[in-house]
Amino acid sequence: MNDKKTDKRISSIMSSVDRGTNEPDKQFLEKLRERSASEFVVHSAHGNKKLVKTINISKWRTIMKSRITKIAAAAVIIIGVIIGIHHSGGSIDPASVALARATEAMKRVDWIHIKIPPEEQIWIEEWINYDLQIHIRKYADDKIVFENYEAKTEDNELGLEYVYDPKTNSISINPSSGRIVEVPFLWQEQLDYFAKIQPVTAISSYKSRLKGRNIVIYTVLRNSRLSEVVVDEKTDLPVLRNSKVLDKNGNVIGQDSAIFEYPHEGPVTIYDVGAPKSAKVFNYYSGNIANILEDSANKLRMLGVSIMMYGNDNGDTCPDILRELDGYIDNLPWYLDNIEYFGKEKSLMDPGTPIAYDKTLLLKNGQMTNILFSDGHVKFTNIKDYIQ
Amino acid sequence: MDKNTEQKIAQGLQKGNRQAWLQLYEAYAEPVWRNISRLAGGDPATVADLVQETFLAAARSARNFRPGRGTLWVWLLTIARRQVALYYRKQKPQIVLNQARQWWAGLDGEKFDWIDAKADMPPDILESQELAVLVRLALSELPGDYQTLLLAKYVDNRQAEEIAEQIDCSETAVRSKLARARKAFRKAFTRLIS
Repeated sequence: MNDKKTDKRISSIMSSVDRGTNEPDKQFLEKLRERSASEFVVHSAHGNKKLVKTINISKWRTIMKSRITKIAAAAVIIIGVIIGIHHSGGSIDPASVALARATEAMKRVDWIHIKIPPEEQIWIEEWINYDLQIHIRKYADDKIVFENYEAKTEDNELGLEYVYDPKTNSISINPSSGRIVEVPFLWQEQLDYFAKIQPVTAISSYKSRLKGRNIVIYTVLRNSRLSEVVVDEKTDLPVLRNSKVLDKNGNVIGQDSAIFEYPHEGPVTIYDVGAPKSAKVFNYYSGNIANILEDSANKLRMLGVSIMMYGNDNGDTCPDILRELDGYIDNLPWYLDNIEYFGKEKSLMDPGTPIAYDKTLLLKNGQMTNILFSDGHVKFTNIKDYIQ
Repeated sequence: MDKNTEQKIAQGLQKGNRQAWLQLYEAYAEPVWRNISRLAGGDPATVADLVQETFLAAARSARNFRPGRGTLWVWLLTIARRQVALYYRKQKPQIVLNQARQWWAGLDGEKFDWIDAKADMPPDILESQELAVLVRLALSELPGDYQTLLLAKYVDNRQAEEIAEQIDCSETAVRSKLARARKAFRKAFTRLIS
């Protein structure tokens, strides 16, 4: 994919929001300057009647700091950038070039299979097939996410995502949310280590042999992290990577590694990666269920807007109970009966805080439901990921 | 705004310092106007109302601003976004949306490739008001941070590094979030037109 071209296209679409917009009205802003300053002084002097309380760090924040998120974050750095930023003393560093070449070589094989030893890892296995447009991630707790971007239907242009949840022994089928990754996550993580986040202390490469193959081992020392990548000299494909964290005396205090294989055959269904045939299947993308989900999401969005209106009148805080929304929302009894609300003492100034979910979907779908967040967006997800 | 200035303003706001408020206002009044104008459309009177509501609401709660929750810019945008959401709630944009949907349905071409940025959208479509409506409504359905990122990157053409500084997170986090924001936008847009 040509990322510059893609960016340009997205930019041209997004920029349509500038159509017909007007430049700031300076005279108006000048008046508002004084008015808002007076408002500020008055409210600061009186303090706020309803003080916003600090919210405990909830699970979603923990998730954002998790290893998986870090891997996903790393996944968006593109190879061109990696090559571009690795200038060291006027020349491009050889490890970065090798990694970029390896990444390109990985796109030409049938299957990529990356394994991480399970100790202390959340994400342990990844499969990719660019021809079949399949991407699979397997976690240490046996959860599996299987994405098939070619599985298009009349209703769905993006392909399908199958998620096996071992806790409920169920497989949910959802519309996929994107397209196949450019770079395998578990490889991208290595690229990220090599990226210029911290100054490079040393880079070295040397040739050797491994199981009858000529290999090149690239080593980069970046502050306390020593990263090694073993690349097959003939195919340019990575076969092993290893990262070690060192203390100030050079002792290893942590490490992780990954093994890369390139088989001709790979898993083409979620059952081939270990999901049991006994798992219950919930199809969320087709027909009635999709309509029920959309209807539920719309109701939650309405609730979100009403809570925003309430917050606007009440110091940016959510109501303690849903009954306080009387007058702000139509059909309040439905919400009282069907929504689990836990926005008490939460602030609208903390975007991304979960505040309510649809109980009715839980009855049908086990752990999956629509969750409303404090900034008004709604997400269909496993409730256990957000609410303890 | 550099971190030192931001910190000084934040401290000033907590103490009720008028000068701190004016400094904040000077820095962000125009950018807030532009953002609201993009999200709510170009009617100057509407935009002026929303900008006013945003700054008055901000003035009322500025003393409670906590830097740990995000930068001043992110805070102001959260308030602005809420005002825009309330505006849409009052306006009931269903009629405009239906017109835009019909317009979209009548278009010829690889429409999904356009949304996926796999093919160029024809210039006459890019220029149309209906597209602007659909993009605005799709943006309005996204979480605030996605909205901020997409506008900063694709409308203001800011680099990831600049955005990272503005919202106080790492460049890697910006790139990662942008990828998710693009997906979310595509999903919201697809939902609107279907």
